[in-house]
Amino acid sequence: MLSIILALKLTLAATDNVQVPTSHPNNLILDSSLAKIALGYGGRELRVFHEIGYSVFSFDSDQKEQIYKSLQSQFGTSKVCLDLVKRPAFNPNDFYWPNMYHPRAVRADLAWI
Amino acid sequence: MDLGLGANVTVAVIDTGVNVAHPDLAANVWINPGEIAGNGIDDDSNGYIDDINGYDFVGNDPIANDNFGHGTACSGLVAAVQNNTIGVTGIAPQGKVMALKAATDAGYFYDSADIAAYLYAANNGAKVLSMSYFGDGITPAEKAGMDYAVAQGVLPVAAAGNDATIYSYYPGAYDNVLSVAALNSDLSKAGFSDFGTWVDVASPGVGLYTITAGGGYTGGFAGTSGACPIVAGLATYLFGINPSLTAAQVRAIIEDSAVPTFQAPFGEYTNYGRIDCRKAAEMALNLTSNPGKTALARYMTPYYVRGENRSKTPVPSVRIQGRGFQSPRNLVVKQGTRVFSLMARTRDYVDIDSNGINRLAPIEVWVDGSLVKRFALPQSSKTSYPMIEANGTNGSIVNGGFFATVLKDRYSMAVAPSGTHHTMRGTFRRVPSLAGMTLHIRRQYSGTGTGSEVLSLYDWSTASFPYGSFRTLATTSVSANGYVDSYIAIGNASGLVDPEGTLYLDLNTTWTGSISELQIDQCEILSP
Repeated sequence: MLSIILALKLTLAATDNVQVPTSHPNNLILDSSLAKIALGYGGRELRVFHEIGYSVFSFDSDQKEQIYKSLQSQFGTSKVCLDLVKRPAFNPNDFYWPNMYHPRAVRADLAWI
Repeated sequence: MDLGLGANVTVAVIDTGVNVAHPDLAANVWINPGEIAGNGIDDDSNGYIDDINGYDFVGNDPIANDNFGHGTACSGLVAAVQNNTIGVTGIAPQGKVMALKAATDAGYFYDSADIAAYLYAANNGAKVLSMSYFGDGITPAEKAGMDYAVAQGVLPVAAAGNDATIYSYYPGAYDNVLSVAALNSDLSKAGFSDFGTWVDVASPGVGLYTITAGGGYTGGFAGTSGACPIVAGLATYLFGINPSLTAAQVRAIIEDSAVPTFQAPFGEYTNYGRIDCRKAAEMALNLTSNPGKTALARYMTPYYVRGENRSKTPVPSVRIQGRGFQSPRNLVVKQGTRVFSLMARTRDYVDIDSNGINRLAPIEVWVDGSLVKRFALPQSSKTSYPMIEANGTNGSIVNGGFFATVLKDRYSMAVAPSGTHHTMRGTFRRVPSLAGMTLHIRRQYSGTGTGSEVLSLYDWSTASFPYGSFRTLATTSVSANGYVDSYIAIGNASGLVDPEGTLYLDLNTTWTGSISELQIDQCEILSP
């Protein structure tokens, strides 16, 4: 029971802002029909997903957000996607890690990735 | 009886790369039969040059080297070589690991690489995806990539995530992905493991022995990252011992052979339970029949849709979530003598045409002539999206199970205090993002004194959970004076509903005086 309580305590701790990227600083994933428009914005095509009709474009990081908002307002969320990030679902492999509540209590595990 | 090790089946480990030269893995690394290594030519015309063992979609390199260590450890759990006198063994002793690097060396999995890996795996013969990563952000592009892989006959398996929360993470929470929670070595729920009705199965995820990127071994790999490749290994093994099985059949066998995972205070914390490889193998070889899990219905959402105003209420259907709804079972959802048409049906849920539901009569779910569940509807003239899962945080315990539709006079959920606080988080599902939504909570506090109750919803626009913040809806003075109803305007809901229609509620009450139990009799999101 104690381990459950500790784990539940840890959840609340993970709510403040941590500087982890939520999307790629340069990339957008666009419906392939928008390729010409993306190139017109100065985009560089990195990858084409022929099977599903999307392409990955890279833009200058200081312009990406503005281009994203502009394209999404014109063409909708199904055609204009951020290049979102996920994180590995691992815990450190140190033997006593499962018993070590303190790194998670101070969110060190969130800082490491 | 020896059921065999299975034939060669390819499993794509989408991860931080793989040390394909590890002596305990090298013999089980996938070799692209159409490619000649190192000749600088795309021999098999699949769009990738010299992709002999897989590909690095981050560095656009045919060598998917592992500088992070995560992918090699996962690969060992799937398919480390067995009976070679060294090291460890994978769950699929003859599986072939396709090394697909989709993470940066810092451990970030961007969709632009993940999607490429899904397509590559599906186009190059993988039968299983092992995905030990998670995030709450989803895009139509990633979903399209996953759907494409599934359409090619691939079974995706993903980690549920390590935030000890009921919040649903992707890719595990996609309907067509088998999601995996982690267990301790004593088979109890690992404290860090995510859980909930969206999680399909569980397997060990603490203190796992596997290989390392440096060529050695560890006995301490942990996380749902470790639980996921064990299940992916089982899927690979099942395909191997019976190559005629489809991905849907393998998934059904894994789920139906699982042992339910029940543990207070969570109740059943995965939809099917802990995997049982032996039983699954017997089912795969038809040595044991698979009657399927007994049908059950866990929750329904939304609870009432105004038929007369349907054009104003963009909710085409009501979803009943549970398990055991598969064909050829005779599934009937009805209200009195009226039988609803089924708009969608999977093993885990059924969507019914919600037009004209009568809020005054219960909805019944029948399977093969037996009543499974009777959902009584609230006497409301608005569409209600009930809170369907909850757990305590900061030490408190939600009594009575973490999942339940919290509905007036049908269920009262108790939240124990922790110190001077009551804390709880709960989820609402399939909620449209509409202006003018209202949060309704009916609750009572017992004890003496007064409290300050803060109700917040997670704001997805700030960052992915848990890196962002909750948006406070209301701060209310409460006392122990019996049940009190509050109706709180949500206002602009656009940043509060995720792309799959999930809202995440946080309740935190600070108490002065003698604190006791919080009972929640009703908690729902109401349509405008």
